[in-house]
Amino acid sequence: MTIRAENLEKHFNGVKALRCTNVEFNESKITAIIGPNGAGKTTLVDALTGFLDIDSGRCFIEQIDTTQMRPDQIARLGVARTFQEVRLVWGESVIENVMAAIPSRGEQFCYALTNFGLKAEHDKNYTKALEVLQFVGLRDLADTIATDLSYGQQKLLEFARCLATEARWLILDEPVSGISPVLVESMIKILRSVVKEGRSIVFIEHDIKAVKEVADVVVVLDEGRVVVAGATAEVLARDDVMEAYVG
Amino acid sequence: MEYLFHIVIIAGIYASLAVSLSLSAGQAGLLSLAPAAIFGVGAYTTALLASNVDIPLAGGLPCAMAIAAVASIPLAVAASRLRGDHFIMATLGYQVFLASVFENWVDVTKGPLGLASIPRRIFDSWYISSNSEFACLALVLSVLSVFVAMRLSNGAFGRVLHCIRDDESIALALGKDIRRFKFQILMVSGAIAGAAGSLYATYTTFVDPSAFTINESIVVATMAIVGGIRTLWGPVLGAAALVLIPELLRFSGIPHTVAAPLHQAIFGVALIWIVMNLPQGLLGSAKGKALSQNRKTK
Repeated sequence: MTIRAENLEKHFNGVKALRCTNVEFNESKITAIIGPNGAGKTTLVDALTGFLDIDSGRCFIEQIDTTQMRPDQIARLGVARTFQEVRLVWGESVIENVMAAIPSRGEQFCYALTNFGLKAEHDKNYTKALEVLQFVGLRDLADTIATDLSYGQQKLLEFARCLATEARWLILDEPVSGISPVLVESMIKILRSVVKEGRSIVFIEHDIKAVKEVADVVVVLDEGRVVVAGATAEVLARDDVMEAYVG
Repeated sequence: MEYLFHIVIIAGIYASLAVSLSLSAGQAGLLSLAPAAIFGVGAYTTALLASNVDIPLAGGLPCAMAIAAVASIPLAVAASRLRGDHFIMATLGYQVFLASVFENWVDVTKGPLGLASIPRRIFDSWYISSNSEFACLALVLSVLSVFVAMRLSNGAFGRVLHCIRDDESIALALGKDIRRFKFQILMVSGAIAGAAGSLYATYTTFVDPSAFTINESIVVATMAIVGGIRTLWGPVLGAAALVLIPELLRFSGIPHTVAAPLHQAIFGVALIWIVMNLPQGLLGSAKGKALSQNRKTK
């Protein structure tokens, strides 16, 4: 399974954010998207996940053309994502935030109104949410309100929510930026174990150390174009990449 | 005693209306300024069915709920395309439109003259004449409204609504069809408002456009906000408080010419105080305090 973008173009008030961008992400790998600020990394991810209407070009998940699809339709194809700024249901507990991601019959209007046969499913989903929280190390904070978490824990929670969807693709926007070195280490370990389970990860990141440690493939973007793409060691060994795009 | 029951009836009807608003606004973030118009649709439906086709409340109420739900479809369409302030402005436009229909569709609504002598027939030959019986109906309706709100705001359905309320992109990223949820919650909210309108028409035996204006919508929104728009029982408390306080002023011994403006002044000051000091409303803020104290003790 692949996620593919063909000739993507996007302008913002005359500024070209994506210029004929072509990129392909392969499954069961960890792919990092790097590049300077304004390179079009988040624009690319927004376009692939349906959060941004593109001017021209096409997006595919496997062989399905997702260009005209809504974000929720793309998500149901097995693509979960996080955002650059953490987005949570702030007034709710950690476990409630994770449970929101687990599909449930209770989301159907008639089931919700009658509450018929939902107890067992609720218990099952609650247990599953606890397992996901255990996996990311937030099990002890299950009943904590999301606003009371540290920034790093909020990022982990957003990631846990992605995991709970059981999507095959996880697209993460700067998962380790702004979090403590301890949590960065923890996140790197988690990302590795997720891929071992057969899932694929695409992440945008500025932290080159983290990229080196975890990514199998690196895609370098600049001014809306893919400049280099390839195995992490090869791409990051290039002096021109390190100097021009990473600094 | 009849007077006391009258207050219970009015409070019960407005409580249901405030719950209907809190369901869409408090749970899904869809603040509508048209609850009074939808309430009016329910009231006129019941009045017309009872007066013209001799259908009692037992038949008129479900019809009123269905028609009011259908009348909420334009709100659902607006909600699928607009967000925040733009949605609120669209609902304001819809409120003005429906109020204008009540006023100007004279052949059906009799315009400003209104529809009078609506029979208080509940079922077959069962007529309600005492306020105590009607108070029971109003209380049952408000409890049922809270029950429906509880079912839809808790559990998986409620979690999706809360995602939509806090940030639609969360729900979208999780693969939730937010248009369906918005559609369903606005239809249910409309149906509850329609039921309240149905009871109102049967109780007052008279409906005219003045009861369904934007002013009424603002009063309903105030009830929900004062009580706690994100809570289940807050809107009931808000409705009870805002119906009861003016009535209490009547017995304060203050002359009517002073009491009426004083009521407005107290209402305004109380509203500002609550918004500044209890932004989550009476019940919402109390719940928040209890939660934070609970966390501190842990």
